[in-house]
Amino acid sequence: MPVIEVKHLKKQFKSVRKQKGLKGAVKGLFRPEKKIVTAVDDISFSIERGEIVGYIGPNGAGKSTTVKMMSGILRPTSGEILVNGISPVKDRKAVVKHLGVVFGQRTQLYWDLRLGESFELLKRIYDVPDEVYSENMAMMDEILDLKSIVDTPVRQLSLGQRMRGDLAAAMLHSPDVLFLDEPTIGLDVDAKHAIRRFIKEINETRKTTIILTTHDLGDIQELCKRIIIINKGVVIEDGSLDELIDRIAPYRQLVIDFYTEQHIEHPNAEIVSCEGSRTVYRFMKNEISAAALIEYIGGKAKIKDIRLEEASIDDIIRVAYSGGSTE
Amino acid sequence: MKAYIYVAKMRIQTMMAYRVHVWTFLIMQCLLMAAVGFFWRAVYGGTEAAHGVSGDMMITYTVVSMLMSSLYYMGVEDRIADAVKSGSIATDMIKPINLFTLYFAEDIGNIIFNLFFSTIPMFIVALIIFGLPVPASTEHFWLFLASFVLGYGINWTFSATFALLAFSAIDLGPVFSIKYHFVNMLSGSIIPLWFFPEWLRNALYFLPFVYMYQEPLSIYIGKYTPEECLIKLGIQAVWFAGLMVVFAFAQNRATRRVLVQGG
Repeated sequence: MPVIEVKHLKKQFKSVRKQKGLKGAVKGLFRPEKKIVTAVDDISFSIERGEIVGYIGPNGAGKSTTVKMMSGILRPTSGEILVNGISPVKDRKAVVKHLGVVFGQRTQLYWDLRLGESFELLKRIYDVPDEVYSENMAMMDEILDLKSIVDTPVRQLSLGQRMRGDLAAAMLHSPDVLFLDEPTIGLDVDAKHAIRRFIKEINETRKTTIILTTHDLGDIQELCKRIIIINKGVVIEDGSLDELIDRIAPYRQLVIDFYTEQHIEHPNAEIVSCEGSRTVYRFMKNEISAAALIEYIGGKAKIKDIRLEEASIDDIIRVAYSGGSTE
Repeated sequence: MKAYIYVAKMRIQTMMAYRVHVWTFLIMQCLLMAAVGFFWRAVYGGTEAAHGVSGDMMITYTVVSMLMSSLYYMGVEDRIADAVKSGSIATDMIKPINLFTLYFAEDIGNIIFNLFFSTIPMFIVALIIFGLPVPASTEHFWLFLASFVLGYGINWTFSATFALLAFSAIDLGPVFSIKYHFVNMLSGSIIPLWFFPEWLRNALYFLPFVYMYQEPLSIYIGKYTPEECLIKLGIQAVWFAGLMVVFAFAQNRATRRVLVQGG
């Protein structure tokens, strides 16, 4: 049985259209012009236990809105959500009991108090037994180094420290589903690394199901086997990252510097450019391997230097986004 | 329950972090209390009694009213408005607790904090300037306490219902401040209703405000016999129950329409 099931989810907001100029502002004061904005149009997916799913899309695609609906904060306009078999619309409390949520752009920690106070409160809210609490704290301390920050007031923490605190707060009650909404936003390399390591660790040791929204494709590359790409409120891709790369960018480029000007052709490789002693080939991964191609060319002329270029994940995602919008 | 007690405790700790705010608020309240007290002393001058209330009773009324208002601190309004405006309502809603019980627990924390850092210091200042604000009798004092608790219930439920407006309109501007002054005026917290024109006074008895301040205070200074007091308590209880029903209905509707600002 899937842990999370989303069927034909739709969310529309009424929003007041701001009108132009002073005249418009005055008009808006008395007779606001309302329009309906569709944040999420038709989204369906299902996620099995233990998966880490990258939920990505450009700004305003409806990622956060979906996460908020799945955690019972927003009510869908239509469609169905089941988390652990329970609908967050019907029973928010029952769903969030087994759910951890981190919003990268805000904190659930108490701003004015030491970090430990927030943990103590959550321990009581979720009714976490003492042994489980200390076990979880010890496990998280190892990766997130909580001991060094637990006595600092939250407002004095750096963004990276705060995010570590927020992650720990979301995991204190050992939830089996974790929603991470841009957990690495604005973090430095070290902090990102710690957070990715933590996500990996809990997924491996506890089989925690994780949905991760992010704009950092490093997160995706390191953590997610499966990605769901949405744009304008609909799913445009859902599958493994490798599959997506194979489909959108099945080619590689081989840049070869010869000692002299050469023009060597191969039936499986297209010559993209040939300037001076440098030749750039493009070939399909499934038609010929890079090694075979190099060996063939090397047999014909002496090679000085080679470089193999792969389509970057950024390019792939960009193609996926624009592909979705031109359809 | 453990969690809500901890919330109240954390609220007290949070308030402690804002010392300047605490002291300035205290000074402001003491000044207001002294001003209103001296105002009544001047108004009464040589007059024995007006509307069956003597000058001393009126000063007692004022002092107790100010002490009450320091305990009637309605954090729930700003709490909900801020949570909706900043979008932090999202982090309240990811916890398996009732939102409004959470806000109520925070206000209990506010009361305990204010008791020590506002009510008691104000009481001491009042003691020095005006002497002890003596209740009409011990019996009246206990009846007042019950009436005070019901008054708090009415006040909190009314404020919480009012604060639900924040769920549908993102920026309420000075609405809460307008409401605050309205309630102050119509509840008799500064000027008792018996000084109001008769038509207005009669009308106000059909609104819940008088049951927040005026009626508990009238019980304290002995304007009613103990039997009359019990009737007043009964009316308060009915108002409280009625407002609870309205609140339960309104909060159900409001939380369905929650909007979360930002990313």
